[in-house]
Amino acid sequence: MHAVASDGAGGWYLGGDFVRISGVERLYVAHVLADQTLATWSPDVNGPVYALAVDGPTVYIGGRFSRVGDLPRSNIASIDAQSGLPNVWRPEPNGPVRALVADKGTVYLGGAFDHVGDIERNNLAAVDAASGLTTTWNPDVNGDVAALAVTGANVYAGGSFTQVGEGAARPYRRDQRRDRVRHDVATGRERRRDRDRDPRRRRVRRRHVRSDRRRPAQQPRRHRRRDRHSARVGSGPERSGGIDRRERRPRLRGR
Amino acid sequence: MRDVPRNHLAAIDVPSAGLVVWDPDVNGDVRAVGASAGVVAAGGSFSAARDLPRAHVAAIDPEMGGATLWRPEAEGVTAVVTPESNAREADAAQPARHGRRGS
Repeated sequence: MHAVASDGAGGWYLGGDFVRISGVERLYVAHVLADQTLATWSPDVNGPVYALAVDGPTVYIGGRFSRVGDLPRSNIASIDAQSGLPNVWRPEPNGPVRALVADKGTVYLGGAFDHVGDIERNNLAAVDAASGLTTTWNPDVNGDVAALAVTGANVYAGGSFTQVGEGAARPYRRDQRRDRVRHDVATGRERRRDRDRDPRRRRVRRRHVRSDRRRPAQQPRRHRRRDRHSARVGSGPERSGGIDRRERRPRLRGR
Repeated sequence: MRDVPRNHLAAIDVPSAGLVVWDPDVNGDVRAVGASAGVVAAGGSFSAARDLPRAHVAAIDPEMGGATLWRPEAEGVTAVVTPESNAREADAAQPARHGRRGS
């Protein structure tokens, strides 16, 4: 047994090197209920599970495997806590995952890998809990990470390393910007609806349109400025380009 | 990016991914970490943290990085520590720590 995580209802998710629990086949993961009976939950993993994290309706497993059910999943997977089926979430670290923590929309994974997906990450990485994409967070640890804990603003990592990168200054800004953009995307729809409902806002918008009509000479200039801005945003990385495009829409409507 | 020495246990800033000054300097592999606002507990195959003798289990001050007075002297390699609120409680609740040899 390598990993135990509470299901929040008195029961436990178990991960390890087993293929059978109390005589019943359970491949490397199992769910024991509060009354100590074995739940029917049985994701079919094809290798040992070293780490578990439960986050609401999701059970994250980390280990040394390549498949969950009929689907390819390298060393980490997100599994539905009800059905036991793997979610569409594939960070794909290229080595075993020994530690996992899910915290505030981010999944931290530690182990013995040098890539997560196509991105270079040495033994410790963070991936987005929703998309499974590797974030810019890159501590660069020079040896295996076997344990992780998160409190407040720190991630504590334990393992067999002797050096940790100092952290680059640039990812900090990028991280912050992405967080801001993400946040706007997440709440964007809500906010837009609120704005439309707000009669004051509506009035401002109408007045703006009227003033534009009165002074048509200003319109082309404003368009140009807006275009320049959108070109700058659009030239960013492919991923944030998609986010920005969605984020821009409510701003245009607000005018 | 410059690499900074950190033996077996490190704290990394969440927003920046920058290494925190915190350095308990554990002299062997760490297999388990539990953290709360008041204490960071570590288990593994070590015998000292910053020259203070701590066999397999240590509780470390999250501010200073030094081992606290808590010294349970586990006999086996400790592979699990609970991320419970307090390491002292973990000591009182024996099932919270498991020697690796037994599991």
